[in-house]
Amino acid sequence: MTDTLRPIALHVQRETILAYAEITGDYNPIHVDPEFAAATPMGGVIAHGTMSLNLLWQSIAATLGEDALHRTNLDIRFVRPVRIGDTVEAGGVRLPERVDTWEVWVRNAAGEPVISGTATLVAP
Amino acid sequence: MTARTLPVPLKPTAETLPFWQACANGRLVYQRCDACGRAQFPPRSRCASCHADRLGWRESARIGTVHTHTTVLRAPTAAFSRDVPYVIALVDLDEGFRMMMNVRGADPEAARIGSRVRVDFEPNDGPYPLPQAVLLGDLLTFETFEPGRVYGRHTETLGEALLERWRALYPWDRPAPGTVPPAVATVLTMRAYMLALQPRPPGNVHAGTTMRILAPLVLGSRVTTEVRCVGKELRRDRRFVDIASRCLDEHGAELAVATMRLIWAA
Repeated sequence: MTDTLRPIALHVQRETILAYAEITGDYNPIHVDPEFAAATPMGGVIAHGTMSLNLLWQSIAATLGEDALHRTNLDIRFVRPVRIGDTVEAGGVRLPERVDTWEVWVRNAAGEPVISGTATLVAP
Repeated sequence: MTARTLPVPLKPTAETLPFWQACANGRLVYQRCDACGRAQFPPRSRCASCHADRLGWRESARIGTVHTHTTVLRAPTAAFSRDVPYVIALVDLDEGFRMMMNVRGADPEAARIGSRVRVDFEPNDGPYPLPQAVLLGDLLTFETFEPGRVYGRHTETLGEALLERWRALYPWDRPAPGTVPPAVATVLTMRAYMLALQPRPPGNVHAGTTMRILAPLVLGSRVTTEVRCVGKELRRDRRFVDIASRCLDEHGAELAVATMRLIWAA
């Protein structure tokens, strides 16, 4: 049984963020309006959090299969903004002391987490 | 909205037919230019901005802002005499196109420049209902959130168009035959959240999520997503709001559940 999740990466461009705004209907100006976003504590446009979260589900499905995905409880925090130009990569590692729990993350190119949390397999 | 005896839209043209057919299905669609990215309305055979002929149809989230408005006190023709006074508004949809509509609902004359509106479809004597604006009312703030309250339910069909847009973002995410990728559940959740919780202050931040995807999402099936506020908490000067969502299949079985924690901006 594998102990690491298969990494899945996404390069984030302005077009990516706009396409994600369109598919979700989320036109929060912090994602699409550079002027508005610059005046917020974020200091500029940030990507939608769930755009990176989706990579984590994809990584879980690719590594463990869909049946395991349907038994996975994902509990994550968005710990750092994702910016235009970032490449983010989802991954995870099984906790040695708890075989049903994975430490999961999405990291930017600098290796800093943008999402961190746990994935726990529950009984069917 | 009740049926009215107003003039009905003219016969659609080749350019406008997809728009009217979408209206008949309760969907608001617009064109986006594949060359320059500009959204446009009304439908045309070419981009009004760069003249390219590569135009794609996109679905709008049906939320926008009043650019300007006027109240009609004297009917221009007898057909409108039962309606006066009525409000006409230019509405800037969030996707970046502008439409002229009537403002309907309880108090249309409360419309102001900057008011947030949702587009609903008003039946008439013809085959194509008219998109009309409804005011969204007071801003949803931390103070006005009611934990326990269901704020809305949104039903949509998991169609090819959705799948296509997902593939454009995540080309590697190949679903099992007859399904859409499991993570599409986050999109269903976000779309229901966007429609149910309106109008929101700009600048809310998503702080965290717990989520489960419980069953395959069947291509072509209808999914209803329910959005409920389950808690709010002021901590270190931050306004945390917890929003729970449930995606349900046609028989009411849970397909996905999530609880989002947001930092509310006002």
